[in-house]
Amino acid sequence: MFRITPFSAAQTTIFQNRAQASRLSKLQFQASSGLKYSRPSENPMENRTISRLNRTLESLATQQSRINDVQQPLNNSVTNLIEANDLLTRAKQIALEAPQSINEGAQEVLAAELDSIINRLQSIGNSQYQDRYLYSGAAGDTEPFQILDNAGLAIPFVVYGGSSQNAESVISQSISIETAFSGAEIFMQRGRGATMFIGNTGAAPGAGTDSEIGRANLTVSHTLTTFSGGSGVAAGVDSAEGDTIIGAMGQHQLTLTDTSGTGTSGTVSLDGGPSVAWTSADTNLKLTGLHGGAVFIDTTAIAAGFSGNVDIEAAGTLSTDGGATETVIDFSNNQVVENSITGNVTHIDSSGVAYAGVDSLEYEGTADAFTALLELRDDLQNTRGLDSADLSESLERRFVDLQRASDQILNVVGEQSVALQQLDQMAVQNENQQLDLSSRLSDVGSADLAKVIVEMQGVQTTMQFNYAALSIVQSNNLLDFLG
Amino acid sequence: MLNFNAGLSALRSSQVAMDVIGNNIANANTPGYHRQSVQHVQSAPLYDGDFWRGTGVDVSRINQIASANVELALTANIADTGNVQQARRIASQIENSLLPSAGSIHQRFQQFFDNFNSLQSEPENASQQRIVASTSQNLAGEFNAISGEFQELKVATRQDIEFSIRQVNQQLSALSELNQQISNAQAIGQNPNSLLDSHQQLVNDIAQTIDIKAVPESRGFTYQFAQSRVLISQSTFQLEANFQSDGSVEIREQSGQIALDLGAGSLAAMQHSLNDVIPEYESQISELASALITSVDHVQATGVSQYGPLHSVTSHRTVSDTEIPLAEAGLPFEIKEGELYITVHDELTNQRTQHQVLIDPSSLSLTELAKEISQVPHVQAVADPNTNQLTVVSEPGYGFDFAGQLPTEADRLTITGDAGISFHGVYTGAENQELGFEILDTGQVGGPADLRVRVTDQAGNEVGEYQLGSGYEPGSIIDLGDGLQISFASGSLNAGDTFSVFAVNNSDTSGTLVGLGLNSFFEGSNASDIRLSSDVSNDPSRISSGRSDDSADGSNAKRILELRDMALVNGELSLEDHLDRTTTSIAIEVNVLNDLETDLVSFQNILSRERESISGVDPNEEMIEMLKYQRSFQAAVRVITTIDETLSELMNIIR
Repeated sequence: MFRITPFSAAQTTIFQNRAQASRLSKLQFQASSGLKYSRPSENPMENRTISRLNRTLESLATQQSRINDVQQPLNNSVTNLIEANDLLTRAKQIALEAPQSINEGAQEVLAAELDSIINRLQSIGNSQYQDRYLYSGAAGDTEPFQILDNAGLAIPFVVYGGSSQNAESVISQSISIETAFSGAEIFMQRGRGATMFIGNTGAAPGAGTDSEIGRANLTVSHTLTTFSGGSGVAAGVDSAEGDTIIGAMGQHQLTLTDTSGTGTSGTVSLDGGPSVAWTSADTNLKLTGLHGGAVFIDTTAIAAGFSGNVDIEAAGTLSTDGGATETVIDFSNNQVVENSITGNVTHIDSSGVAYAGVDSLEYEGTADAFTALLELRDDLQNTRGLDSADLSESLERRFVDLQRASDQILNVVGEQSVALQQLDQMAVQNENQQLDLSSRLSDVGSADLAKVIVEMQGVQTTMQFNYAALSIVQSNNLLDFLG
Repeated sequence: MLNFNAGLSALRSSQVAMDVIGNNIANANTPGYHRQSVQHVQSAPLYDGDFWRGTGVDVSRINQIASANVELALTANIADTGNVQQARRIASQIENSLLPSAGSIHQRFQQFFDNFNSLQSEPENASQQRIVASTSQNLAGEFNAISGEFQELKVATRQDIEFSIRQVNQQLSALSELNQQISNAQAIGQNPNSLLDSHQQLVNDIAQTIDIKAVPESRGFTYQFAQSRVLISQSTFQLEANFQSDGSVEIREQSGQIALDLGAGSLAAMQHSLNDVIPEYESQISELASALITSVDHVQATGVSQYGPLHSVTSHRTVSDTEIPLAEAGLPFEIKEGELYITVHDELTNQRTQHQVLIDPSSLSLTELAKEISQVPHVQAVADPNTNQLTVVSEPGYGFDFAGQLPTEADRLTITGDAGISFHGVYTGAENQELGFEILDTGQVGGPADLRVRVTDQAGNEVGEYQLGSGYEPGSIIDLGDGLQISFASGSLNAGDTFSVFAVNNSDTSGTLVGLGLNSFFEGSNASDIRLSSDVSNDPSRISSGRSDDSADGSNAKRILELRDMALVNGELSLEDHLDRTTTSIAIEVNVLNDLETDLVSFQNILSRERESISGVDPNEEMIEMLKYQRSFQAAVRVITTIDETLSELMNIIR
């Protein structure tokens, strides 16, 4: 038999009371906080799961925040680019309408509209979202597009000052979305075809690959005329400034006759052109060739009795930057002329250069969106003085350039739209994941309040029974029966 | 002849019995009291010539009702419970430091990466830079706080050990005295029950602190002390704590040489906590801090900030001596053999040049490293023997960084042509490599004839051959792959011209920047001294968010984000997984100790009840006994009265 003393009964009650009070305290925490555990040691494995779920939920919340942050600039960008494409569409319409528009005033109006389109496109290209340029790539604080005008250039020069690297935002560990694109990639994509020479200087495309873009003016300038020996002909006073023939020795010729026999008078012509009488007093006689070109000669020292052809060598220079830099003509089939303003080069076959003048160069297929609009504007104003056939063809080429630029913009719109779609899908997935994880977290980490309340009542009842049991045990006392 | 002996003996024995009962009832609630009972024996009989006649009753002894086995079991349980409770208390305090909650280190890590995520999208945003700096300081602060709490816990535990030893030494002295008294009493045949009760209580009190076992002998007790099985003689046994320089503690017998294995008791738990448990968790948190510091510092040091190129940077981690090899210079983070790339910026022309410094820590001292760095054009380095720090400065008009950026132009040392050669892009390949370029033909870039360049990798394998003549637009980009781009401007190139470029993914393979704390994100090397670098704290734009000069380049911040999932701690776990594991580990320990404590306390309750069932006082039982002896007393009085009356009758006959 086991002896139970009042002391041991009391100790048992105290022990049970402590255990129940401890349980009650835990239940109270669960009821008041809604959480199953107040510290990890209560259930380490479940708490580890809770910790991981919480971390994942936090990550998803961060992801959602990033998605929201990225959607805004992308939406802005798509809107901007759609407007940019609309501008180019109108420009293409103008390019198609222009040949039908015979009225100079109407063409001026279209040119003015183009100015407005160019300004608006530049404004779009330089648009910002929250103080960051959308089309500057990773150089978000640098204005991407500047249109520089220079007297030495055929058309204004578009400078892209941004970065070639796109800026991206990390959405999650494995997903990054590009948020700021390189403007060069959107607005300045181009190709390269043949270089067209429009003019009479005789310059032709060289065999190398040019890097100049859009248009340029090739200035062929005369520097010095020399004559083959024996005839006594010399360059006239205005030769340096006034001669317009260019060519290696023999490319141009004088036909000189000393009719006096004494070197005092006769006739002379240039390249089969009209004969002009000369005397020994002429120091600056102008001759014009059959196909154009002029030369000033000095006939004061003609050899007596000379009759025949005199070979002419006329040196000159080439320039594509309005004369800022000049390259001496070497009459080769491939000379490189650098534009000091743009830094780009043009390869020229100068073997056939015959006359000084300005040729208009068009680098086919190299016009970006801005350049195509600037060229279209200039064509509407026919700044190059093209005949109607050439002008019509030029306008067709502008249409092609604008179509290419439009296609590139739409490609980017497509890319960004796809990215936005992906973001929308990610947002939905994210939301679903958050719901799922929240539910799992609730299962693992949240207290089942109904169960808690029931258990609290159970513990309370047990405690009461504990006290009642002690009371019964302690109530049996012999003293109550002794007299 | 009639006598009063029997009656008187009955009176005496009943009185003694009632005294014992009264003492039992009085001590019914005295902790450690063992009930007593009277042992009666017949008095020695007398022979009257005819018969052996009894002479009454004697009290031979007053017994203490106790079970030695139960007492031993209870004492052992008390020692075990004391050990587990103390261990649980200390483990709980460790757990408190690591509780995941608002403001905890768990949350600080989350905020650190979240805010770097925001910075990655807007690296030029000054407010975001400040937020990152603040969050990082909070994270460092949390490490400091936890480290401080562990230090305080160690100090408190040391103090508790000293206090416990003082207390237990006093108790052991008292026990020795008590034991002597018991021995003396037993020597003269006494039952010193009260002393035995006091002795048992004292033993149990001592058992809470040390694992002691009292072995009863013929006179007094001997004692076994824990696993050492040291027998404590009756001379005083005293303990002392010997604190080592590494913070651990040895418990020894005073004037003894051998460390004692304490076994159970709270002192053993305190010793184990101080020597093993707290240092283990300290080490895990410091490991975490070190992994954070080295990984983040490396990314920071090898990136480019919004602040722009550096003009002056001083190392935060000092060597012991500027003249001894770096490998022996006492740096907290190892420097290995490898390369360090320095990019120099000409701020006037915006040109960049790239330079490689070879590092061999087994032979290179800080002074020699400074000399090597000073070979880089426009950069000067100085090793200060007073502060043991390295300072790197650039000449006016120049800046530098350690981002391993591509040079803007090729080195023209072995190029005879005049065509400009430029590098573009950011290298994204996985490994550092040196790419070699060889011009195969002579001609003009963009010219009509063939003009080719061959590109080879570090192993000499051809990466590609590219046409620079016919069909190549001068100045246009040639993509070499892995983010690397090159362009050739109009001009001439000659066959045999060669040049090379370092394509750098890791611009510091030696760990020099982290080892010395150059352009670092954090200062310090462990949980107790980690803090945000003063450079970054004073100017948050110094956070290296990119790897190029572009303001919106957040690629370096992205590298910080990538650290989150990398196995940075001992190559096994990510930072947060390691923290999770540490938190779970201590939680498991506390959980196990909780369960053990519950079981031990429950078992102690059972043992107490068992002891109580043997040695406890039931007042009802005692009162029944008292009634018995009361009746016996009354009967004895009647016997004496009857004998007295009988003798009086006899006397009347004679008179």
